[in-house]
Amino acid sequence: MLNILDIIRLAFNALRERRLRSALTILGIAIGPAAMVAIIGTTEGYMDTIVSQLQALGQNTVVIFPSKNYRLGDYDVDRLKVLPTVESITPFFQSRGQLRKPDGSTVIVTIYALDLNLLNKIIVGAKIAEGSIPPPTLYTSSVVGNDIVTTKSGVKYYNVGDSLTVYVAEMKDNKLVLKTVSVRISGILSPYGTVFPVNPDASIFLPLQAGKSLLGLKDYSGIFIIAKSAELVDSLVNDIKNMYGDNVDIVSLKEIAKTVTNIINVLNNLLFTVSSISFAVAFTGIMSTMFTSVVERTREIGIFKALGYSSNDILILFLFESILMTIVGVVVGITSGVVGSYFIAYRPLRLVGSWTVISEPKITVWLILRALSLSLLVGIAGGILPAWKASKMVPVEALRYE
Amino acid sequence: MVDEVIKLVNVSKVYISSGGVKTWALRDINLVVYRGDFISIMGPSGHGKTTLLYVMGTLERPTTGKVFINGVDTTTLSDEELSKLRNKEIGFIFQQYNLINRMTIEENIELPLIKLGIPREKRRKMIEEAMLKSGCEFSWLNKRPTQLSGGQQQRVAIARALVTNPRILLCDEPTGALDSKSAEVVLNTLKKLNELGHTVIIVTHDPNVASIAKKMIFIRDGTIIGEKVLQ
Ligand SMILES: Nc1ncnc2c1ncn2[C@@H]1O[C@H](COP(=O)(O)OP(=O)(O)OP(=O)(O)O)[C@@H](O)[C@H]1O
Ligand SMILES: [Mg+2]
Repeated sequence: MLNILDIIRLAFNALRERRLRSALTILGIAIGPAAMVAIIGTTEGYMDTIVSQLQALGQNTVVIFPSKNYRLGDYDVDRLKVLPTVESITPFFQSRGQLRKPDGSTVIVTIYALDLNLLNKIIVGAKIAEGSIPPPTLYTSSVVGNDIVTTKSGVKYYNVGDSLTVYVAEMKDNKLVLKTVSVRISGILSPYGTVFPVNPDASIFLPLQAGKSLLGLKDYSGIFIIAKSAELVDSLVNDIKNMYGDNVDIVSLKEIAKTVTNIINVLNNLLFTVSSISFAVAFTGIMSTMFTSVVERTREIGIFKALGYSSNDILILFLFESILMTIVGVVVGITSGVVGSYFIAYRPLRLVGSWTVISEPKITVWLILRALSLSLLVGIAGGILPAWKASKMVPVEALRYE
Repeated sequence: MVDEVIKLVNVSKVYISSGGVKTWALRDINLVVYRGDFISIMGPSGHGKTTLLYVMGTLERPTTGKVFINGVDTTTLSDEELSKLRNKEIGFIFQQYNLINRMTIEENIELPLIKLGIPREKRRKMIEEAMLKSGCEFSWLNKRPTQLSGGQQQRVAIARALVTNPRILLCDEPTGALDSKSAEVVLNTLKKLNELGHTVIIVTHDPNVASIAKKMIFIRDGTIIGEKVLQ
């Protein structure tokens, strides 16, 4: 067996003679790992951020909405309240309105009426930046999101104590009418960021009583239920299913996070498969480069055999040229993939509405190893046939070859 | 027995072309080469000289018959064993020098030592010794073959053949591409190497070249038709 350092030196020597061709082949090899690292690194970074945002929203929260004309009322709240897994519960009214801002622009806002003391449990991490939560009886006082009191550029023009005029759509005698509603700002939330499933930044939160008296709604839009712990969410969801069957839709954030994670995994596998295709470039590149090289160096092979190199030695020497190109290609590819992923991730990803995700790419050792091993596999696979052909060359014919 | 460096017993070589046409390059050759021999093989073009040399050097397996090197039957050896034997015991010298142009002179002469497994630090000394024996100048070490004249390249090729200190030197028209002056230098080198103990076999169709050997063998149509002892 030849010394490994000598093998590398001889392979390098041969590649250097065909600089341009070697460089182009190396470029072809680099494409696969570059694409894989850049694409998967970026998406995994985004996905991680999305999942952690979903998880931050509160793994304990379950929301039920009526379906099939079922009407949710106080009776339902009382039934659910006694479930052993329930920590706290509040029904809510939900409506959409239009807010005219002092600068003349109008924005669509969501109006909730609910038990305001549960606000920081439903929207985990929500903080009152200014003012306070109004008592339940002051049903025209509100807690509002950050977007309500500021312009797009962040200039603030409403303060605690100011009044807002909102146009709310209301059904009257089967007709949609716009109703003017005036609410006082009692508290202002810090900017929150996420929009799913509640976008606090563009919402107005009123005490529960406002739903009937101010918004003119009769039935609850839904019920927020907080489970005692995240582990109990599944059993809570099961209990609700048993009680209501198809009459309500149950949304559990834990469930959603799980679904999203599953989708992400599928997406990741898909991206992996797609970027694997670019490894075919490397395979054909190496194969054609090495086949050409073998034919061109027929005489050299004969000389090597005359000097005492065996068929196996020739095989190893030629194979190492492929491996050497692959290693250089992988290093170039992974490096540019990492750099590329930072370039892609530099731009925020816009999901829905104002939900944008900014995230560092996630370059894992596992990702690098996958790109590396796939490249090496392709390099060896592409190089083995030409190397085998070189080793099987009959020395005499090789030497007589002009 | 040990003195029988090469022995061919009833060796024939048949080439079958892709069209199925058979060419008998060698027919029933019997030949013994003793240690210290200096033999020239003469014959017209296409009559099997190169084939005979390659069969003796184990580059080519005979179709029938046996080839012994230092008493060992090479027809039973594996490719790896044959390669090691060539590496250690046989040096080839070709008409077209067959140096590798992308490598320096030093790298060219180093090639057999890599296969032999000589540690790197010991190689330089062996290379220089071989260069001295074959009349090379050390200033060539870092040059490429294309920077040297034909005669100089052939001396490098001899150094490469010599570097593992093989017992046998097989030369195929070593002066065929050289002017008469360079040819003389090369032939004198080969003669000197023979005096140093190497067994030298030269293939040629030039009677002047052949005459420096101690013994001439004549080949026609793949058969030995005669020999002549010169000294
Ligand atoms: N690989 C091969 N396939 C078929 N025929 C071959 C092959 N190699 C050699 N021959 C034939 O074998 C015969 C002997 O060839 P060889 O090269 O030994 O002759 P030579 O005496 O060395 O000739 P020259 O003086 O021209 O070098 C020739 O007829 C040649 O055509
Ligand atoms: Mg010949």
